[in-house]
Amino acid sequence: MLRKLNFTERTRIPRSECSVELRREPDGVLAFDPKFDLAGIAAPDEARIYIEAQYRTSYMRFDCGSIGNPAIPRERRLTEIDSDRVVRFRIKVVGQSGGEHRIIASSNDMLISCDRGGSGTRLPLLPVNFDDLGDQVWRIHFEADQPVLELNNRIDAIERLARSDPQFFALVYPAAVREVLTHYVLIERRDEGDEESEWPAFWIRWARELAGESLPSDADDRSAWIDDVVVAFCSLHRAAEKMRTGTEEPQ
Amino acid sequence: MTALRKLNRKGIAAFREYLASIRAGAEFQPSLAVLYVDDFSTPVLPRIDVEPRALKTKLAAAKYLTSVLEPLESPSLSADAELWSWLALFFFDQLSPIRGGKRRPREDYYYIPSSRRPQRHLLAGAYGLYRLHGEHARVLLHPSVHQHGRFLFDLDYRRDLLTNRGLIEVVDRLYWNPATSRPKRGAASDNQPGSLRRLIAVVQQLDLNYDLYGMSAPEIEALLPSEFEAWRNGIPPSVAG
Repeated sequence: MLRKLNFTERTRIPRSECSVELRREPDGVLAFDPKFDLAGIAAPDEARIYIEAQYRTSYMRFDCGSIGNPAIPRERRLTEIDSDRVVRFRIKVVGQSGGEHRIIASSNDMLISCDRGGSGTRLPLLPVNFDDLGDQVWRIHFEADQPVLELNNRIDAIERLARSDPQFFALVYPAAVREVLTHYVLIERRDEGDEESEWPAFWIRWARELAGESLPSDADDRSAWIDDVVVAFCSLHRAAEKMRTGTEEPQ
Repeated sequence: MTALRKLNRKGIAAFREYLASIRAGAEFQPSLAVLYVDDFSTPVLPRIDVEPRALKTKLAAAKYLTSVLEPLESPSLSADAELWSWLALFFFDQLSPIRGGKRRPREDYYYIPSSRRPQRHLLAGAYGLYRLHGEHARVLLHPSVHQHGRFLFDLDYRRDLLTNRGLIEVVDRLYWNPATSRPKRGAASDNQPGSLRRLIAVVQQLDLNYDLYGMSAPEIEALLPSEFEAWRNGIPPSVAG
């Protein structure tokens, strides 16, 4: 199990206490709606709260008031972020005494859910991003701990294919699931007991529910477990059948 | 003067093929139809004129393009791949000059923007940094326009640092030599105490505990250990010799 060592006095803000809902404005620009409860953080009232949005080299920072007087900023459009889908958010509580700008508490990867129109929100396990991948059709990229499915924007109609083409689904998504689980479970050796509100835990929990069995501790058994998860995934989505019959499936 | 245009999808594909053909030994053609024909590019409206002037350094290029593109100014302009691809093709002779009798274009993303390596585009990257940091970006933008430069290369791997205004001002204060109008000798060294690589390592540690984005350059400098003292005051004796 990976251990995380904190040699500083910086408090970690639990992911359960801070989250962001990502949505798209009518003009197509991404915007976010934060939720946070910092009542449990030991910080003076004047300590400032900031939310930072980042994707690769693009960055925006939003002032959310202070511990004593938190305030959601009125303007929350991500106009300076060079991504139309994947954004990382960080929340910081910064001390102001003596002008030292010391971080009292932070959460480096806030939970992000996406607005699904009238049907509530969901937490995307595998967000999709479009990029120039040269001759690759797709790949998995890990933004910090979060897996992102990157699709090649040089391919015409790639977005439509990803959403509804049964062959695309059958050939890409099971392999993507296998790659992500291999990364977490075999390479990083994450366990079910790890931090509940982190991406590996979300994936392991989802996989356990799909396969109907818990993650084994033995490496050999884990490989078989991943196989079982992929089989269950393909079975759930009738991947082979849809590929044979060409039935479209919305994603 | 030439009217500014943007390459379309077909134009960008043609540019890629052009780069591949030059790498394979084909001759450079200074005035490609791709730049001017509607099949491959579209004019920017209202008309903006671009002149084929000499862009000696990345800083000179950034300053010129900032003034030319001022009517189009928006936060998303740096990410306009079609626009920057056209500009790279327009200035291609300078972005991929002949060296040793041969033209050797670099990877495509130096000329056609890639979201994976946005800072690598020889023009868009320089423009974005100048727009964000102004003259403080001179340490990063002093190389010739066709070069990426060691400072930018080192910071590129901690790309979030490139957007920190206070930090880039610190880089300018520590490493720019106003007497020579170039970075101080040894600043890009791998091993020199207080060099840029050392600054990046120290800042990564400081970033765990300090809100560096909210701090001014003097406040960040005050946190730096003593190995940076000599750089504040000039060129360290160990480098000056």
